[in-house]
Amino acid sequence: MATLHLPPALRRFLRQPAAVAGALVLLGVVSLAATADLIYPGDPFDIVGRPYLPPFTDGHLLGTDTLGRDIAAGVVHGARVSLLIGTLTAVLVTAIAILIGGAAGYLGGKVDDALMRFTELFQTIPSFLFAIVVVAILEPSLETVVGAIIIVSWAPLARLVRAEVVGLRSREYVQAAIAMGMRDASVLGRQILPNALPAILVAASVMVATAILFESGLSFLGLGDPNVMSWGLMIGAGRAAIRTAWWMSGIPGIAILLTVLSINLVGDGLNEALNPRVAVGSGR
Amino acid sequence: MSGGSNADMPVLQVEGLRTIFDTAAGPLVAVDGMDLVVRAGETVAVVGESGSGKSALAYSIIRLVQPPGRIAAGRILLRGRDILPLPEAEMRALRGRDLAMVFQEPSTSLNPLMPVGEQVAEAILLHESGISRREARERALDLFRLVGIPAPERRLDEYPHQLSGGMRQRVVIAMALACHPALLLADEPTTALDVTVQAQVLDLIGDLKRRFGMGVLLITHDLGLVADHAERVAVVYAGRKVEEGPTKAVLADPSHPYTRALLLCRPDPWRAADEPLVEIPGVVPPATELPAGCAFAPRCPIAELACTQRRPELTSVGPGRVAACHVAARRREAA
Repeated sequence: MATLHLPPALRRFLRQPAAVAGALVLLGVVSLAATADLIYPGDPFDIVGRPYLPPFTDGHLLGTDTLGRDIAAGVVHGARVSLLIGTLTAVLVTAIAILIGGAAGYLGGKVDDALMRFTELFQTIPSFLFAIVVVAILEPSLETVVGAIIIVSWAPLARLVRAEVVGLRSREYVQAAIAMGMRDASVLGRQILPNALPAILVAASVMVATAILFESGLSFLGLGDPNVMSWGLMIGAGRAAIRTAWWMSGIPGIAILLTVLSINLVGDGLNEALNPRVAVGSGR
Repeated sequence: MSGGSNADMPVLQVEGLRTIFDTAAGPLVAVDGMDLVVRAGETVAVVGESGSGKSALAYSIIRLVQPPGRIAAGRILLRGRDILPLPEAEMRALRGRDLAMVFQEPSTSLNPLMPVGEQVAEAILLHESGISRREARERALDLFRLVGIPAPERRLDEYPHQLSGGMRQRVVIAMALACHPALLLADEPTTALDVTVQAQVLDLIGDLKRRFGMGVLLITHDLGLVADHAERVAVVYAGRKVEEGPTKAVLADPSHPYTRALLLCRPDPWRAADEPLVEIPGVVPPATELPAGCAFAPRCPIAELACTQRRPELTSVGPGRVAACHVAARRREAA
């Protein structure tokens, strides 16, 4: 009984088979991405064999594409890009959301009104089209893709943070901390945000999946970074041959499906495990 | 710091306090023309029904009235210094150090994610800069002993949900006392607790009050608690004080019909079970539509014509006692 808060949450997470399966798949994707240079050293854009090789031929585990590039190498290197973009955008979006949502929710009044109208402005624009426009105006590169995804997807998370902060601000322990003479930044950082963290964490994990889908979509349309191998780019390149060589777009498609699905399963599992209503009462 | 250098200087003086909530339906006067004095080592109880403005009074004193609420008029003197004109930063320095507050719900007035010892240590660190985390923890341990928490070393690292309601309220009190405040505001500190624990917590507050020469403002709706735990009592109705005096005298011989009605409402265990409980007919009028005369007149059994026309002022009805009632004032004159 001495160590407390993480273990019960972890136990609740491990009790869910779907979440555990998702975590394992995700772990696999992460380890592939981490060891990409060891498994497939060299540039995944290199032509290494005959084009149109189906999977399991000539030592090419997943076959080759229309130009004779190894698909397995592409998938493994593409995992890096997807995970990098996914986590980077999720982290940055969460930071922006905490800043804007936190300020709006805590300060209230006119600040809240102004920030929320600004947030709504971003929510009214169709996000994928907006992302296309942003990338099309700027040069397609990893940075601009990340930037575009952040611009179109921070708003809902900011609203979520604001809602959490507004709810927690009126709690008695927050009032008590203010009555003890705690300053606003400490109240927000030490009393409110830790208690809002479960909800934010779950939303951020789903954000990773959303960002991966966005990146794939942009790369598929040829708006991703052309110098970086990514799953969307591979699907786009194999699209022309989909009737004769399904694996060229099918395999990276499966990779996206598995990754996004596993992240969503983990997110659901976290939601269940960190749900404050379950988490607080049951320790006793 | 605290002590009896000038024992006659009241810890708290509230003068003509008026707290208003600007609602869509018009200004809502939660506290109206309130005068109150709390001396060092004294507990003053503020008694009233829900909606009588007693919590708004406490939040006004610590200057935490949430918008749309605001303090419209009056003075609040803490050890002789008016705190209403103070800038927020100075007020923040006073909160927790010179005046502290104990809230109603011990289950929700502690951060569920922080060990209770750390929360108390935090309260100390807020107001004492030259002190290390370890020293603050030692002080928290002393405070836990002071408020009678058993096995304090172990409790320091426990989370609020591992403690019982009474223990949590002791932690909250320890936190409030962390910097030996001159004034303790206790907003219904025992309402959420078992009856047996209520007495313990109030005894503890009384004991600490004597030890540190603290002034206590006890906000409650329960006249029963007042008898044993407060030297003076102020009865409020619809935002105004209707009677004030030494607890014993007020409870033995209430002047205002509202005080009398409150006393009659208390369930009496010796009364036959089939006898109906006494209640005051009607409800506290909404603060937006107060009658022109005495606010209690519509519910008052002895109301006269004058009561519905002219608001009674507080007049002396005995040594150290005041009441705002036309009838009581006349009886006093006749006697």
